[in-house]
Amino acid sequence: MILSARQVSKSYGARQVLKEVSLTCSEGEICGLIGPNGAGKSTLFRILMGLVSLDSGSLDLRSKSPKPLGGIIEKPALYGYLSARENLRVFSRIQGLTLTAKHYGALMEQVGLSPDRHDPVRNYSMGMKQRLGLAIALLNNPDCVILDEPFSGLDPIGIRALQDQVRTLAGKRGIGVLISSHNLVELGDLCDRLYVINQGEIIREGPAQKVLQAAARGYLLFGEGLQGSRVLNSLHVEYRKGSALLFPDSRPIGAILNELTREEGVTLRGCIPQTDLRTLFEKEAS
Amino acid sequence: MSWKKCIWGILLLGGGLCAQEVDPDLLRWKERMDSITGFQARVRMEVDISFVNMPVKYARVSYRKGEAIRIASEDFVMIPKRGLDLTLNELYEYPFMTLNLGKVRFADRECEMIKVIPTTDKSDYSIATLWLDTSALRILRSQISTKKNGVFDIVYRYTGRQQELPSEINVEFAVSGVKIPLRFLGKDTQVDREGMKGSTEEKGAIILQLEDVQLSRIQ
Amino acid sequence: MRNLLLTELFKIFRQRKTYYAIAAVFVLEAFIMVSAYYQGREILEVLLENLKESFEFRGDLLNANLIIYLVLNSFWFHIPLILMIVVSGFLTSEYKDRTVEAILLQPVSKWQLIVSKYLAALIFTVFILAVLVGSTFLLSYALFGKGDLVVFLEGLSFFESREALRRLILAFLTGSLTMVFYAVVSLTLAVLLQEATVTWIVAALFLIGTTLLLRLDFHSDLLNTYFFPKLTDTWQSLFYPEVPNGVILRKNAALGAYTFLFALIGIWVFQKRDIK
Repeated sequence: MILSARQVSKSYGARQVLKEVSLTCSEGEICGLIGPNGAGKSTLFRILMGLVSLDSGSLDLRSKSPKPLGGIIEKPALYGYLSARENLRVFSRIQGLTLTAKHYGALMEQVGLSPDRHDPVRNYSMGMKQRLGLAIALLNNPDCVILDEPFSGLDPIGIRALQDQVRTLAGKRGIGVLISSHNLVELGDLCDRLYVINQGEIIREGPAQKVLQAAARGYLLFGEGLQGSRVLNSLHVEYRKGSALLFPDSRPIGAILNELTREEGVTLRGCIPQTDLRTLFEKEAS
Repeated sequence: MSWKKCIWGILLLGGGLCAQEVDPDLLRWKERMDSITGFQARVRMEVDISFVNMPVKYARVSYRKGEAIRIASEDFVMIPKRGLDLTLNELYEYPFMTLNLGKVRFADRECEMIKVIPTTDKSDYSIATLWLDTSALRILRSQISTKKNGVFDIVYRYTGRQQELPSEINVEFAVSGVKIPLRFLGKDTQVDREGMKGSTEEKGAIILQLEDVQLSRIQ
Repeated sequence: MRNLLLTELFKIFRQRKTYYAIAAVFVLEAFIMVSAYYQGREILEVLLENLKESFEFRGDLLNANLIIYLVLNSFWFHIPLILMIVVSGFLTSEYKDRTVEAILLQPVSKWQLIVSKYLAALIFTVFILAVLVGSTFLLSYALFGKGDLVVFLEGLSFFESREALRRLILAFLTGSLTMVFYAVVSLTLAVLLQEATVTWIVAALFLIGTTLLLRLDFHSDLLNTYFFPKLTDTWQSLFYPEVPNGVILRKNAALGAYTFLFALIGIWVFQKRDIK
């Protein structure tokens, strides 16, 4: 475990923005933090990065790196009047790194930026700025990277590219990644572990798929012969073109799928849980 | 001023004195000064005015008979309008008459007090008073009332008995305070702006010391 | 810290607005020199009017030293105003662009960052002043030649050319302390207020207030001598006939202490505040 936050609380005046929040992130693990706007995600990340002080609780950072944590909070903050290379130079020099031109070029290529581009960063698209922000976050080899809403403003290709990079960081470089979003789709199949935060409290946590399934209101099935299925027709189902939205009863979804495929010979091509956000953001019954 | 001349004229006639001739002692002094064809000297100038702070200045003064006095300096210098005309040629530029007021003592010397009065309106002074040391044949003091520049009271000091030219000249005059241009960007917290408009006159002086004097005379 | 400082200077000199500020200083200087030349004769005419009754003048008082003295008088207001706007922008622009946050996401401590900002502001101020002083002296001597300097300060004082040059140089050095003070204050205001326009307005108010308080009599020797607005014109004392060296040194030391105090306030607040 690299990063651990225990019982972290923070208030601004009478308004409590974080209530006894605890989370951990280990080497090579991708942890997601999902919550609606104003849930406290950014505040928590600012506390983890040392930008904001906590009122109570503790932070534990187990890293020998000179830069244990790297990160981007909200949109990447860059010097618009400098080029990408100059931005990297500024951020590396301030932490005592002396990198060569070759290093900068390699860093830029690593995040998908062209090392030959010299115009000021203010001319860059949001996606390119995100990449540069990530390159800066990765300077000095942090053990853990915190990315706050990194997908906002990106197109689907940009989102996909960033997701791939996050997987590479965790999988190949063993960096722990803590990533937040208010969008389930972006985090759903990326994270190993998911924390759900609402009104400053962690209300759900656990392996990502488990957390999502627990709040799933239905399953979207893709396959052939769905409309004629006796099993489906005995349940609450909505048929769409080429798919069926199943609202299972008390039976586990696995058992229903088993019946469909083995007993009725239905060819299933996909089963996507439809997480109900309202349910997800409600506190779990203890 | 012509009214002054009228009064003097009446006094002269009333006193029965002959005012048409130049005083003989003054003539003797003039002849002595006329023997000097020129001189050069280094002049040390020290301004003594309450509202002026000026360091001691040096200049080179040169005079050739028949020409105006020349003063040269590398720095900015303030030359008194009266005082460096050591032969008093400026008084003789236009016709004048003299009036001997008799013997007086000045600087421990017995002098003749002689009034010099121009008889034409063209001169730039209205009356001058000279204290002439007749035994050493030197002017010890002059007081010149100019028409435009006020009164200059000049005291001459000599080092040697035979010296024709003074070694020190003390020029006193009346001067008004400084006018301050309101836009002059200086520290003006102490400025008396009312006083600026009609400032009272006060006495000022400049002390001139002649050094390294080189005289040329008629042979 | 050295890396941070060098990076700050790099950022300052890579921004266009820095060069606008330098250009503004030059334009101001040129304007003052031109107007000093045209008004200089008029000023001298008035100043020396009464003396002209008793004296003839040899030498020209409208020379480089007078022009430089009139440029020096621009220290009263114009240069501090430009400096305060530019220096406060070193921090407010970073708050606006959120690059303060970005820097603190790296292993850089808050106090190191803010101290490097103050040091960079100091270096920048000294640089601007060196450019101003150097160009003023060069241009003035080239165009107007040397000569005596006349100053009205409790009377009319004349200084010979060499003495005038010495006093003018010392006056610029002393005046530079005042400029550094204003630069540090503007950076502290930027720490406190964070937003650019509000900081400019408050900085301008501070400058105006200081200039007004300078002329006020507080009926207390201590306040009249050591209250900080009273220390901002110490350079003028170099043009008294007898230079009060002791007083000047004490006032400069006091202004240095105020500068340090304002910097400490800024560092403390920056250290304590969350970066939201």
